[in-house]
Amino acid sequence: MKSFMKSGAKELEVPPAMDAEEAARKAYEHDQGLTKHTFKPGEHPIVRIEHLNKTFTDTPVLRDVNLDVWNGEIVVVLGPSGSGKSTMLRCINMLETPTAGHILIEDQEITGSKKTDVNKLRRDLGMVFQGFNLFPHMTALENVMVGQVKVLKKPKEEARVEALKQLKAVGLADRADYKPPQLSGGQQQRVAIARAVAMHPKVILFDEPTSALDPELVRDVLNVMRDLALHSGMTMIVVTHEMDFARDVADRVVFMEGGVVVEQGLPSEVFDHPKAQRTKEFLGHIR
Amino acid sequence: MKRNSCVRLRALPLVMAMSLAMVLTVFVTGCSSSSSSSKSTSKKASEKIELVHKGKLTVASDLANPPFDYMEGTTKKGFEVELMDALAKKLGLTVNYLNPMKFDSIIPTVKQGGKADVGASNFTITADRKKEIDFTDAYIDSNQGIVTSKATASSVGSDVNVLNKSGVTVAVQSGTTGESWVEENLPNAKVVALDDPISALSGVSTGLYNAAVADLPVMQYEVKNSYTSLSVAKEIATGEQYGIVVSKDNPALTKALNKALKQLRKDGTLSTFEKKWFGVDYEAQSASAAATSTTTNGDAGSVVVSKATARPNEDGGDRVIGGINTRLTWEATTKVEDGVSSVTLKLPSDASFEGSTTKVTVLKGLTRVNIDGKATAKGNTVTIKFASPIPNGSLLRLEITDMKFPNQGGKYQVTGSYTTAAGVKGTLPASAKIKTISNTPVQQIVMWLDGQPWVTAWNSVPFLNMFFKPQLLVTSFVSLFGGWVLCLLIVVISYPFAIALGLLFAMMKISRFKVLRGLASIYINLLRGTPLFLQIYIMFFGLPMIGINIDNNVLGVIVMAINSSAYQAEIYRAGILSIPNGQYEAAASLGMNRAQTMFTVILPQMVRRVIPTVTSDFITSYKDTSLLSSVGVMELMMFSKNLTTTTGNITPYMAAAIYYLIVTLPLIKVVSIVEKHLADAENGVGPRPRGRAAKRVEAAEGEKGESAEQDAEPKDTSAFEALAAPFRSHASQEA
Repeated sequence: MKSFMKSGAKELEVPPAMDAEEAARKAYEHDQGLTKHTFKPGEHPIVRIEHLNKTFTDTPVLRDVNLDVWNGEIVVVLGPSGSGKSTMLRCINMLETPTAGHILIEDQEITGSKKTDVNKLRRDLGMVFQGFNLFPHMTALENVMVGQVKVLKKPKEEARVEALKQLKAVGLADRADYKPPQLSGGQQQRVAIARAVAMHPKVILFDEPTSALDPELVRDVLNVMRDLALHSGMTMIVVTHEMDFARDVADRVVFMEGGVVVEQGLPSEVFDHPKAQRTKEFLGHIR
Repeated sequence: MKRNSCVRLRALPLVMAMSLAMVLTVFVTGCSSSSSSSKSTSKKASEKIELVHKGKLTVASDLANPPFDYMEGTTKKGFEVELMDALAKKLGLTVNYLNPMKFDSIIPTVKQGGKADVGASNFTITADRKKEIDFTDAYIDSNQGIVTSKATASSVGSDVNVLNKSGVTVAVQSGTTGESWVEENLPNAKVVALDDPISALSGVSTGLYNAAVADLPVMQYEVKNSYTSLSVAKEIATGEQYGIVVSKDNPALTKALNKALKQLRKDGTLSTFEKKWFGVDYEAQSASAAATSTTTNGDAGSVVVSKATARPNEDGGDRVIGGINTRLTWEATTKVEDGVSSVTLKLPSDASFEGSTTKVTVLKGLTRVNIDGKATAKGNTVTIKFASPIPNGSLLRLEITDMKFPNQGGKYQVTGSYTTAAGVKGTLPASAKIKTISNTPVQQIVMWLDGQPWVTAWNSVPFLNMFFKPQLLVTSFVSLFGGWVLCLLIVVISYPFAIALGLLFAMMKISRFKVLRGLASIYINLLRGTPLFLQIYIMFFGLPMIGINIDNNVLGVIVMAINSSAYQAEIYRAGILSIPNGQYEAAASLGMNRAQTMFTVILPQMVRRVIPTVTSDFITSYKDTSLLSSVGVMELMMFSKNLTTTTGNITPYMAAAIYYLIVTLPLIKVVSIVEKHLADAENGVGPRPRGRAAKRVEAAEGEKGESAEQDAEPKDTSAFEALAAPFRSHASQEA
């Protein structure tokens, strides 16, 4: 009934996943110079997207997307709406089932896994939604606790301490007992970030986290994200329209359009010297 | 804005009360004025027949008593139908039968006027009914019959007391002579009062009830034609007579009908009808019985007293209460060759016979002998002189209304004497003891009300008397209490099951498995697509048929639970579907599995959303328990229906309405409060949490301090510890 529970879309002809060592080596070479990330010798990408295709009832949304994200890297995905950024993000933690292609988290294939394995893999992938999606019947504190208690099976008190720590980190310790409807949009999004971070995922996915917010509330959320990027060491994939944030924080900027990665590289490169015509148009349009 | 709404709220009850009062005043004055006008016309009408429709005799009947009155397709058929037709012709009218009505509503309908001129539906002429309406002369004599399955018929036939046991259920038609006979003679059996004799027979044939007691001709007809697996186990000689019900405001019609009836009897039409419908000419039989005269031999003979019972009072349940009017039934078989010319009954000195209304029934075998009696009451004795001597070997029944047992209650025997036609005196053997209980406070209130002038004034307004008779309101409240408790019990016990079943089927309906979805759909659609009434009938008559015998009340709980579960399944399903997709995604992204998502995220939110709808459904279920009265569950409607049938007054229904409202009004209020609360919560309006949050900040800081430099700041630590006190062991392990 709910879209995320559906499975089994038709398979396209896609080459099988490459040998891990070989793939890592190729990606290593390819990504050198495209990102500020400092590579370790023999490092494997933490998220690997290979020939990813996604079709919604005959409308292709993603067409052969390939992307590698490295441990600790901050990747900002830009692009006009409808370019497939969000869909790609949702495919990474299986909220959408890819039509074809492979997604590997730490060399482990997530596509085509069993349901239980997917649930397990999702623990390593935090997600922050455009619409916050906090649980309205729980307080801010409980929102941050529930995943730790139910999924990580942490003792309640331990989870509470962790939750308070995360709420404090997003500047909302004094709102711990508030229910989501009593919080502003910006505050809700910060609680949502705390909820994702409290699970200590390996990768945290941001799906246009500031798009639903009033402009004056955007700053608080971006500050929290910036803080997270600079101090947590967590891998972040951020889909956003916030150019300044991308320029300041990103290790790498990926520009997508029409379901294809058009251009990627260091923020300074992409912003100041875009190579592709469409990137130029998009950035010109934004400015 | 807020203050405004507050003022409006406060003013609302006042406005409502005022408007209600205005409506009532208009209604009452309207009614009283119309009734006074009808009264003035009725004075004139003493010579003129009043009819609802000009040139038509409008008849109210339940049309459910074959062969007296019944529907065959859309045609009305039966002995009574033909009789009414013949009577109408004699009056120069055409007959106009109304659509079938419930038996208990016929007398009030005729009494109120405006809808029907007469009621004809096997109405036994009783003193109680005569208080409300007039009867024509009897058009047929009748008895009651006990119907059981063929297997048990012989044992019941030889001894009725086989049925006088707890655990035995006897079905009767509510408010009939059969019902009072069972109450008086089978006090240990459970009486189930139904709307019509046919459902009583259905119940016996499926095994739901052990026996049915109703009008003998109806029973004989049905057993012969439809319910062939049953048989009439015993005929009970009640010697009752059926009459046509006419409003007291229409004496001319009663007179005219009596005259026409006499003509029909004389010209043999009545005999023809009887032969046609019953195969027996009752007219000839009673004539021959009356003709058996005796020759004097001067022997005192003997009288065998077979029964002495008193009718339970309305508010005493199945008990006879001292100090208020009841009816004494005394039965004996005369073995006096000369015949008995008078009987004197005597009770202990503190009992009293107040009126002299005595019904004399003389039966030879099952045939009634028409003998009138004149009663003279004097303190604790009553003497009945018979117009002609009671023939030898007949059953004599005396029903003396308006007599009282002493206030304090106790066990009483009826003694007395008799005189033969030859003037010889004999002594009556003492009867069996009649158990009575002491006067209840309720009865004292009623007696006090009887004496109040305002009550008399109040009751003189026909509308108020019909709907809000104070005395009846008081007794109704007491009598209905048990029914109300049963209603509440049924719905309160059934509801948790309904919720559980509803959740189960809601989950099945949204399941991934096609089979489960299909099963849930069938269950929900069947139950929601058919009336509850039908489900009750199927369960109550169907289950015993396949050998499952469950107590009626338990079965009631089961039916209500199953019915309500289908509605709740839909409520829950809609509730679950109304939760936005983002909630599932958020839960999934935290790594929750399907069960965790359901139980920690979706269901708690769903529950909040459905509380108002579920409460409304609870109110509906509570009211729907009234439908169980149709199969004889002794709930609120059942009691009020019985009271209304015996009294012919609507007041018991009003008392029932109040009992329903006692529960529903507060619940309706609760729903509106909860709805407001939910709306507030969703909009983020409402009180902000205070105090605790601030402590948490300190606690969080304390925790930080702790990890930075262990036990450096005792103040911080204590704040944290205060918070973590209940979980101390965990916290210290962590540190």
